[in-house]
Amino acid sequence: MKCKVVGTSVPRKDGIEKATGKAPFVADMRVPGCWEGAVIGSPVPHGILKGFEKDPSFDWSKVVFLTAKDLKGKNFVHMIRDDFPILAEERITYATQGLALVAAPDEETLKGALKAVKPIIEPLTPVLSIEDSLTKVAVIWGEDNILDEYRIDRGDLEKGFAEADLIVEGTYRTGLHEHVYLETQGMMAIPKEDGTLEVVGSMQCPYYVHGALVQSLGWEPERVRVRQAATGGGFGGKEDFPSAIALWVANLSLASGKPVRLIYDRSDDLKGTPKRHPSRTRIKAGVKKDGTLTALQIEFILDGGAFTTMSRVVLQRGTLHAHGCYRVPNVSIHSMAVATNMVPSGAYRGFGAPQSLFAIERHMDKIADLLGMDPLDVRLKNVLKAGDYMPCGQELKLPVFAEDVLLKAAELSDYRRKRAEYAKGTGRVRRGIGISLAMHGGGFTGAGETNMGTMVKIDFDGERFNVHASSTDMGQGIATVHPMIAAEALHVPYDVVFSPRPDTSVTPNSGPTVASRSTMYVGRVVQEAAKNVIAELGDFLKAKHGQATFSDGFFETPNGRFSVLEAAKACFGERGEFKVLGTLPPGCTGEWDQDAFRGEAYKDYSWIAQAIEVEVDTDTFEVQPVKATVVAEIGKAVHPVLVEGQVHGGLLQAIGWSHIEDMTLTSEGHISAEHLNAYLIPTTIDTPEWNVEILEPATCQVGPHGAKGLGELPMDGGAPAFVAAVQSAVGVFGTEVPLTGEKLFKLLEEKGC
Amino acid sequence: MRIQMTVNGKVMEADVHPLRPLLRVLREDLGLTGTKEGCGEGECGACSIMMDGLLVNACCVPAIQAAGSEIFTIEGLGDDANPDQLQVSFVDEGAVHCGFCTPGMIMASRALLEEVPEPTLDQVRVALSGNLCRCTGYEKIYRAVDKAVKLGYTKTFKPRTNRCDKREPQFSKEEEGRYFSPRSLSEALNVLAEHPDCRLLAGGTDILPDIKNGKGEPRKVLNLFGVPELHGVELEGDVIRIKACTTNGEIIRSSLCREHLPALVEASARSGAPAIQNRATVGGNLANASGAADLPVILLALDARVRLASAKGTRTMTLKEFMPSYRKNACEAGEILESIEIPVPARGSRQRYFKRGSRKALTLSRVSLAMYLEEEDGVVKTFRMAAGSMSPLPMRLHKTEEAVIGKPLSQVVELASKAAYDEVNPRKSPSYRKRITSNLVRRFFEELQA
Repeated sequence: MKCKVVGTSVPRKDGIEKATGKAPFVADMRVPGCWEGAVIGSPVPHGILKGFEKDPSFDWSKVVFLTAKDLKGKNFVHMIRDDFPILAEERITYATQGLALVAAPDEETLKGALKAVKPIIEPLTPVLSIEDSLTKVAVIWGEDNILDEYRIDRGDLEKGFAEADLIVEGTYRTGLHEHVYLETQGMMAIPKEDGTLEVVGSMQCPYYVHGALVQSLGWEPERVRVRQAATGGGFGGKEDFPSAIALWVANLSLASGKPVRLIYDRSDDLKGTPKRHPSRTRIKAGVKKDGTLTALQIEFILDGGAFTTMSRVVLQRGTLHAHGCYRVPNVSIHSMAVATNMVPSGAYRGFGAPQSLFAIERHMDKIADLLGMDPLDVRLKNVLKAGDYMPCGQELKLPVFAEDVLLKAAELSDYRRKRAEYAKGTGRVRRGIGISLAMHGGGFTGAGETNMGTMVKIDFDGERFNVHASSTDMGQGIATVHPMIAAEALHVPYDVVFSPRPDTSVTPNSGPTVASRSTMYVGRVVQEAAKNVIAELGDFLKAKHGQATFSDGFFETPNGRFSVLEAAKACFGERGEFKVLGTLPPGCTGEWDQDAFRGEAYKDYSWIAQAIEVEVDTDTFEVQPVKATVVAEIGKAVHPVLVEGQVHGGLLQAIGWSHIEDMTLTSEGHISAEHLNAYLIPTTIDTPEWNVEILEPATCQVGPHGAKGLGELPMDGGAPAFVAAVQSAVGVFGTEVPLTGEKLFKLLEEKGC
Repeated sequence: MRIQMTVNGKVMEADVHPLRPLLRVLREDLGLTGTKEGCGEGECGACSIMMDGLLVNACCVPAIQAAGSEIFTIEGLGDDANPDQLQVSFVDEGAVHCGFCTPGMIMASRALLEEVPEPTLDQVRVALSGNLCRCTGYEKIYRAVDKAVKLGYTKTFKPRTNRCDKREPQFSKEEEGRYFSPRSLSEALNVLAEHPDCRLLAGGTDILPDIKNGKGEPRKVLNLFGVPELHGVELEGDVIRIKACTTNGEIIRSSLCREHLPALVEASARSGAPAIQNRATVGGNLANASGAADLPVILLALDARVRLASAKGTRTMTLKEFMPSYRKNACEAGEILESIEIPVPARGSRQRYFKRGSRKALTLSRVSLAMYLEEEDGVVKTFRMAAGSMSPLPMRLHKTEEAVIGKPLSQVVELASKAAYDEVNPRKSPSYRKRITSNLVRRFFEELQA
């Protein structure tokens, strides 16, 4: 059936309020009597907190000052493993870690208080890198610094290497990557007279925040209400950390009896919030002369920072994407997330996959080099097809579009001709083109979606339908996409369906806004809820008119024909309310054995290929992305303009990460880039021309109209294509990102250029 | 301090600290929260607004300088019920994602369209280069601007009048004698004679971020930006005089500079993005005496001198004399940098400014180089070269100059390149920066011969 709404590019629901500056971000909200809160962060990455030196000349009665022992309830931020304290008690394990909280009636007083207190710390030797952690410069987590570890083995590795004509080894690294959502993190807590607490702020996952508050405070769930404010970008950065800020403002608010807000300054946000895990990947591959992979041994290590937070699941996804889009009969993958004295690494678009995919994609280029083949041909030789098996044992039963996107990207970018032409390049400015292939498993890993219990509510208020899902719109457009899906399924105009910002007192738990799941999985549940609306209205009409059948968007009854909107109005008029729930039907996830780490890791994968062209100025070692051709297979583009925007924006983040977004830990254990004049993200001038094509075969059996996950996909393969393009231009093989101008210079110098 | 401003056509009043960023005045004192804070230090553009017809970052404008100005913010374009065409185009073209950069992005687009009604794509990209967006990859934003233009948006523009033009700030008792906002040079110099401990405030693009970052707030401030005699570019016989509070934006727009000083225009355009360029001044850039500044580098190569003024009179000196050491300038108590004088470049002379930043726009220099050359019959007659970002202060490369002067142009490429390589002595990343330096010097001479 032809869709009326899905597949069109309707104006987004929150467009005008954002374009007029009216959208309520948390810093825009005025709550009378609201205090300002702040966290006192550790100046050192590792140490023992001995206490605080408080200036007695400051009037401490004017403010609230809290240390770990003053916290209400338990001192942990509930996440995967509850090892992340709200405030450090004795041991400090990263610079900026929260040591104490302060709230004051106004900013001046707050500043005065912050100046009048100093933590007393005995510093310890910090663990500042993956190598430091592995060699146990200090043991800072558990007995061995290993936060989590996975192994995947399939086939016979020794046999695979024995069959190979060539063994190719390589080590690849990726650096810290900061989200730079344009709106910094911020939360406000408002205590209510009835003893409940309302928390409002910038967040991706209202129920994570709610869960963290309830678990730590030990309160009944109903006593806490969490509302999402308009959220100025997330990209994973507002997945876990808002829970910590929420607990800070909640404790300050409970101690002061006042509403308290804490809006991060950009510099504090850069220094103190989670970033993409740095990684080190070692790969040993066995290949035949014709490029066929016979064996693959991968060691994938993530720098998790000081606490587990999201590392376990980031590591899982990185591990399950580590072999890339290739068929390998004999494979062994060993992965670890290790602890360091760095701010806990967290979720960032791609969630571990961009790191491991960077390594395998670069390694495919290396294999191509050594065999004298084109990188495209080595990929085509091994590309996954339907019926192939993944290292985790998953058989790809559904159609696979890896080859399709790769060939299409090569064609649209004129890859082969340009590659040959650019190889002859001389002169100051050299052009290059690189290609890469990536995939992304939609939704949670393994059985996560089934275990989630995703629930969506659709209600009708007399005029309009409201789709209540805890999926947050942080810019990606889900508050437009869910109403589109619902409008289609309800056979009503888009204009009468809305998706309010989540509020845990109203919105059911449809899970966090992560893992490219909101269209594919939550969108499916929206569709299910809409089906239930039709059924409910059918029952209502049947009771009223004796008979009601639904076809072509209308209910036929003996007393006439009713549109869904008419039926809903009638039903609402009679009952005074109308609400219907939907849940995920069975069969939307596969068989997965979490302990053995085997099975159907993801129900379906999205596929993407990108050909990136760059210009390298050999005088200044500047690399300018010139053109990016992207072909992505995502099942169905529910909103084509939003889809294209996601692809542009995601790939641009990957391009930034590839060469200019440079952040490291200093030898003192501090983040090296503390301002946006040091952490540089692409501007209009650093951006290529785009050419995007979306394939929509709609073969996915889970997502609405065959849609699959999209949000993270454009981040997954951009970096290896970029570094390959630099190689095509100037002939040096980059093994790490960011490939800054200075690193490029060193590579050229080593090569004797 | 009590100030009045015309905000979106209405006279508005605020009672605020003289150095309070205009961004906070708008958001917190006037309740206009459409303008956003993304960084508070001029690096993201989320707080872009128009002030007296020019794009500025509201976070970098101190309230004292907003007094009597005409302010145009996102709220002035249209509201939910009646959005303007640019706002609608942003929504229709998918240029709005998270919405946080959007008000600033729209105001930057509006500022461009008021100046250039039918911009090219390159002009749009340059105009928006100080406005970061992390969601869209920018393409949708270009399309939105283009669509608004096609739908006749610029024809809807109406002139805005300032209903409180030149209205002075009213200082409180406590501020009286500490904050000064004179409207003439003689008044400014008299204030300074009496209060030599005033911190001089030009465009504010350094001072406000410094205050925010806890680098100390000046106790006494003399605002020079509103002194008309300190703005402008003039031809005086064989020198071009640029007044100290002339902004980078004024230099870029000056026909005199474009004709005679293209390398200075290039340096101004590569320093900051448009909103910063509209506030940052040439005088501030020199007086701060920082190694990474862009303008001193080209001004050294152009052999500029500076003129200082005090209530007692004026004196001139070389730029090198003016910047004796890092973060120090030669102004004595009661003295200000009044103007810069640049000899009119000889007919047929060549000048270049090269900048290597860590990205293309709104970035500090890793390497900056400036060259000025006159030739006669194929022989180098005059050659001046300066380098920035590689030493505590920008410096002339005298050895390189000497190696080249008097030599036939055809024989100096390698010579100059090697001499410059040897002469610069960067502390950080030396081999990388030396190599870029020698490459760019080679490029300069190769292009001369081409």
